[in-house]
Amino acid sequence: MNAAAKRLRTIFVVVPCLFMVALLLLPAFNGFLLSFDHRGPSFANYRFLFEDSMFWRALANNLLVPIGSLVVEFVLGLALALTLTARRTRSALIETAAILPFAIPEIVILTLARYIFMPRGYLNGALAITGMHPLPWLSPHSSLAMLTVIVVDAWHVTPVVMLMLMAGLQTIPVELYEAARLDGASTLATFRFVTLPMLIPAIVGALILRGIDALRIFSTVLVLTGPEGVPVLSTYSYSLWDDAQKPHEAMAAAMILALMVTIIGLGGLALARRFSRDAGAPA
Amino acid sequence: MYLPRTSSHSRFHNATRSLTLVVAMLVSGCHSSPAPDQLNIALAVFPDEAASYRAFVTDFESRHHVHVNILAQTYSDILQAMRVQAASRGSLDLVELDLAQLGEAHGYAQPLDSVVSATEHGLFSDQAWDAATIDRHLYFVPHRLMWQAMIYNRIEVPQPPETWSDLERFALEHPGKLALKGARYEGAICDVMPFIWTAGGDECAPDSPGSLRGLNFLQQLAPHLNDESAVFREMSVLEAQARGSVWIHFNWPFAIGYLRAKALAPSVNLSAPIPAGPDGRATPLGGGYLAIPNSAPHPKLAAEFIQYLLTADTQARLSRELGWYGSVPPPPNSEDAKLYAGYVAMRPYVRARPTVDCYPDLSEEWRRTIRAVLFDDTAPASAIAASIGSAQDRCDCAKSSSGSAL
Repeated sequence: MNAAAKRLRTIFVVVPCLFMVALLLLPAFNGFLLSFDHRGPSFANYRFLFEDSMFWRALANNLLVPIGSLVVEFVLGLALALTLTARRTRSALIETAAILPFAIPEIVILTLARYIFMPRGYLNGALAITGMHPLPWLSPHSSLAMLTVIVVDAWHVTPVVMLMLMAGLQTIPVELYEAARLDGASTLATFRFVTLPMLIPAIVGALILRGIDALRIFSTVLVLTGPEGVPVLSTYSYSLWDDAQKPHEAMAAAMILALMVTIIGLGGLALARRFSRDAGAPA
Repeated sequence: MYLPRTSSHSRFHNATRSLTLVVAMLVSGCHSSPAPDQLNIALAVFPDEAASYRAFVTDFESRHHVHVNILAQTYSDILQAMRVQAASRGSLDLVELDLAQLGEAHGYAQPLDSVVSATEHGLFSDQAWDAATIDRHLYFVPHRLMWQAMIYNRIEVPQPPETWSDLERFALEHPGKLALKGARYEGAICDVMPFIWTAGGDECAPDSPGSLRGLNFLQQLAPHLNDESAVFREMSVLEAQARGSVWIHFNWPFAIGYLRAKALAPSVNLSAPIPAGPDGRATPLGGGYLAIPNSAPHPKLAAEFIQYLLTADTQARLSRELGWYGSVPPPPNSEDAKLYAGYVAMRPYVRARPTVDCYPDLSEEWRRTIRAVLFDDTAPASAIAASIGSAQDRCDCAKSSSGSAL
């Protein structure tokens, strides 16, 4: 490689690095410092959070909502992936319908969901037609509101999980299924002893990717219930910054969320490494 | 990959040129300042209001041969921009701030004592000017004063409640049809303070008998409020009123404009005075005040714009063209007079929240208290003790407010 090419390569490495430092690392470090700034270095911002009951609700919800969402989207995503992969003839209509929720802009799908679940929304209208009582789907602080948030969040991102699992299913050699069939294995046994073990790397990848992403849930909660209905750490932080005009306390809440995502993310990556090591190890 | 010398040279030069261009754009962007004949005004208005305001200022533009650039932002973003501009430099010449922000924002604003004359002073009440005066200096100018009134569904509620007991009776008879803006934000203060004030209480004296009396009354209403009151804000409660989920709530004048645009006022909804409490009526003063940031590029032009606004003619145009009835009420017997009757009736009972530096802390403490009383069924005295704490820990309300007519 000649000197000019080296210089070119250096530029293309240095410029993105500078952008990373300027737009990601420095603001993050500044945010970290701000979270400890309360008219001087202090833990007062964190103390403010720990004394606020809404913070603890947001922290608990920030675990419950992603876990619930992950379970729903994994079950639905796996079912859809298996159904679509098992079909002998491909149907563009069905595949499009399965992917559509992710293809629609988030704000559109969330606004649509709000119109469906609001007190005088489409769903309660449908219930009324069938003679049933309307339900408070988005009633603040209720379990039903949390369930609604989980379902809507899962509805939006299930196609991502489905696509990742479909990609995993495509890599399973057909010969394994033929061997299982010759051995007289039932459909359930084939799924348990062939499909599932071979799909584990894809499942782990999908769960880690979506798990980390689900921890950062924000717009679903904000659009459906507002910052107070089913508070999570991101909406709590946003509310402190925008409504309470407390940027330092908001930054402290954001730092706790970042710490949570980092710890769970690193744990997930360690788990993924363990799975890949086990998969690669000789029997 | 092999790169011919000429090609790599060419790519290197192209990349260098591109990088230089990007850096030049960034640098020029960082140091850009508005043209000398441009006035940048940040207003907390909706996009359609910004368009109306844009048309409104053409008169000033032609008189002064300048271009007025209207930036529609939220109050919190404007305050943040002002903070940033105070620390370095910026392009904002005039900013609009919420009354609740004045205590904090005065550190970033230029004194306007010399800009406002006695004649201009007469356009608004002393109370409105008092809220804008900090440490004996005027830092802000009333731009579009407003206050809350009761919005009611005239079909479902032919006789709107006039007193607390009427309101309580309505809440009992129609559970879920009365709503408060109970989200943890400033709107909750604006809905609750009239009850505190008219019970003889004060935000600066949370554990006074009057404040407790007001909170006790709200606690009686709490079980009968609309379920979504805990998350309601201006727009969401208004949408609920438009859908018919809510029959009574308290809101700013824009609510009537919104309902009228949907053909839901005056046919279905109207405004009425906020029900009177033991000490009479009260409504919070709100709306925007204008300030010139410390490092405004064109302070003289900004001052001229303020003087342009503070004329009787301009104020009349503001009310006529934008429906901002800060200093000029709607013409009698007009449709606006019917629509805004509640606001006109509440004019003598307008009261400002304290403009003190620590107001954000005080407000946050009250928000927690209000939510504890309304939604967590906490006794008012306990909620105050838990959220606001002892007297020595509290925000110092030395510059307290008192009610007076506009």
